[in-house]
Amino acid sequence: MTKSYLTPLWDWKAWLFTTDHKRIGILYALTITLFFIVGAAGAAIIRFALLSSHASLVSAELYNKAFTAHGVVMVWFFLIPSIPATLGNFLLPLMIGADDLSFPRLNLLSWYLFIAGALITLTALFIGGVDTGWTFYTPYSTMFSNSYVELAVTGVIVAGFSSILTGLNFIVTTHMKRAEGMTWMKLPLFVWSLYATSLILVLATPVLAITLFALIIERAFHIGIFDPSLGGDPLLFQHFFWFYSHPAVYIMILPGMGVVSELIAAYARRPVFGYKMIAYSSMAIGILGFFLWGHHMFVAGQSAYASMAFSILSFLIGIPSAIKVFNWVATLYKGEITLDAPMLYALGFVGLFTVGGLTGFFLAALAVDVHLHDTFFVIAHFHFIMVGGMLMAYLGGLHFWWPKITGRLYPKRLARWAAVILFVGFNITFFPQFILGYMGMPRRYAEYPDHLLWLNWISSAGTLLLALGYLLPLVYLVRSLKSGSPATDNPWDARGLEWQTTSPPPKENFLKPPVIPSHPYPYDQKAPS
Amino acid sequence: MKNRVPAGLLGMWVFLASEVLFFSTLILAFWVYRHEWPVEFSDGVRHMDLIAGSVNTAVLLTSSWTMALALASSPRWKGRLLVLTAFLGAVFLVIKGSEYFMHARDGMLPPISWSPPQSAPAFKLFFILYFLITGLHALHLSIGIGCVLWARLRMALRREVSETLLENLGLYWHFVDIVWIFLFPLFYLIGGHA
Repeated sequence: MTKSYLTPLWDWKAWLFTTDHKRIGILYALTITLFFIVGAAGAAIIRFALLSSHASLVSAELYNKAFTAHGVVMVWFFLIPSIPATLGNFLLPLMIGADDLSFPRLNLLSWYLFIAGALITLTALFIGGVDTGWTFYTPYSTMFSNSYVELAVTGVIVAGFSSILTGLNFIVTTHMKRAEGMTWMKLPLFVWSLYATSLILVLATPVLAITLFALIIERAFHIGIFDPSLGGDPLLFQHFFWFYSHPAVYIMILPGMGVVSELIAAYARRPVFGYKMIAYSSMAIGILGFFLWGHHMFVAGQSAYASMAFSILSFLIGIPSAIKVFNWVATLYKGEITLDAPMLYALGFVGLFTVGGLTGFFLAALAVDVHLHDTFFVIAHFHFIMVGGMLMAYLGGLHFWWPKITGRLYPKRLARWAAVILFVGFNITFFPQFILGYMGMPRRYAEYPDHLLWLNWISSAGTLLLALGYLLPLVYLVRSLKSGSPATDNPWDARGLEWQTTSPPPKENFLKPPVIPSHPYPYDQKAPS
Repeated sequence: MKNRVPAGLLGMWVFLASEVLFFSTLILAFWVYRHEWPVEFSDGVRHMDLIAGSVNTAVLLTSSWTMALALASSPRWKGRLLVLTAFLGAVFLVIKGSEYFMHARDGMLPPISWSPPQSAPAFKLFFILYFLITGLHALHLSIGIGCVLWARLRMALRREVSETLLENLGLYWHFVDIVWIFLFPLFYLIGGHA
């Protein structure tokens, strides 16, 4: 028996001072689960408040603070680190046949920065909250809001440095630590997607950091960097904010796409169709994603010509996204499909991402956006991508690699039910929001016209099922740690390098060098024994 | 994989790419506002001390030269040239600091002391951006000086100072220098003619 990376298990020092990428991945997983619960509490308040059409259950002020807390926590402290910092951290070195990331200590520093940022922001949210919305738009956030904006924003900046360091580490690792023979065109698509994500983390995050820093200075000293009455330009804030936050959308979806590529190949038992195209489309999304931010500002007063350019570019991002979807479907064709939990999540991802992506076209179209801007249509659109996409992929990935990470198997039947419940609950919650938005229900308003009551009730009712879909995996996955049957090294007969080592892997990942396949996803060959 | 480039070096390049975006955000903000308020910003440029700025540019460029020499020279000279580099960096900071002091004395240090010759909000905006951007640059330079002296100290204590580390110091130092090459015309030259 080789010693797994998990021994010694109960030594807290061994966890807090570890530089093992696998342990750091687990530290991230535990902490983001906690933040997810905080963010979900915010969502619960929102859906509870909207049971009433005239803010009789929850005050308008608390409503504002709830949606801000929900947005801030879910975006920066759950979605951004979700797949990259947990599964990415754990799997990147394993998938390329390395013993760790290039800079293990920097990796630990990333986690501490992340925790520090999260604690600062959560403090702001708990001692009184923030009411600006997650976008912190000026001049409201700098000149008018009577809430803990500085503190919340400081936490986001600190967490931003964690993002930059993680991105840097991943880029260098992908270049430098690949095993002999692991060429770029053999890399798992998850690694490609992490690489594209890392580019965005490194190049977009500094813009957010410095913009939010300027926001703090403006607010603290009442000087006008963005305030129009003092010579500033609030549109500039929006440009800078979305220059980060639009690419950040791709930070939140690209790793999910990578995970789904792995899952579909494994559960259709076929090499991924159009491997190169999927790899390149990740890079295309990463790069093109930098040039569409203006579609968040169609009604904000930017020039009509700029809007036209941003509109066209936003339509273009549909091409690499569609390339992925078509290739996934083509991989399924004539595959030996097993509908295990990870595959159910992956298929759910493909469907929900497609709906989320196509409704994005409505919003990229200049005239239609005027009608739909800042309505629940937008909310539904990006929740289909973020929750229907990224969260499904995260859970799918977690189920797929759970035996590798923990060495335990979970109850498969229950897991399948949980995936279906999540899918149904998600649709009941969010599909009505498309209709609500189309009928004119604005986001961020505590009150709405009475005729929209029914759809809001359906949406709120759906969250109960959705919550069950989250709770079930939490319960049975945790239980499996104690009572689950031990996993073999490769329980799904998958082909990635990570399955060639033991479950869970030893601290140095591979005791003998992994066998590098002749092509990626060799599901047409037997697994090397 | 056989790597011709050490991981640390690639890491520094990626870090600098991130830094470029950091500074370019502020520089872009400055450009946008210059475009919106050409008169007030030109007035701001005329309140800069062109002599001090030019001397500082020369000092910093020279420090980049000594840094490059330090990397290429023998161990005996390496240490001396590193100290000289750090010294030139410090000279830059002293001159910059005295400029800040002058501005404060003339009531042009928002928001601490603000009794400017003209009251347009955009004139104040110019100075806010000036202090924000050059301040951030000075902070980077201070970190650079600290790191160079730290490397020199390690050499003096006969601890290992790797080639990659020195190379990275050089990259960082030149980056800070290049940022200044953009800042100097922005704050001291463009629009400054009468």
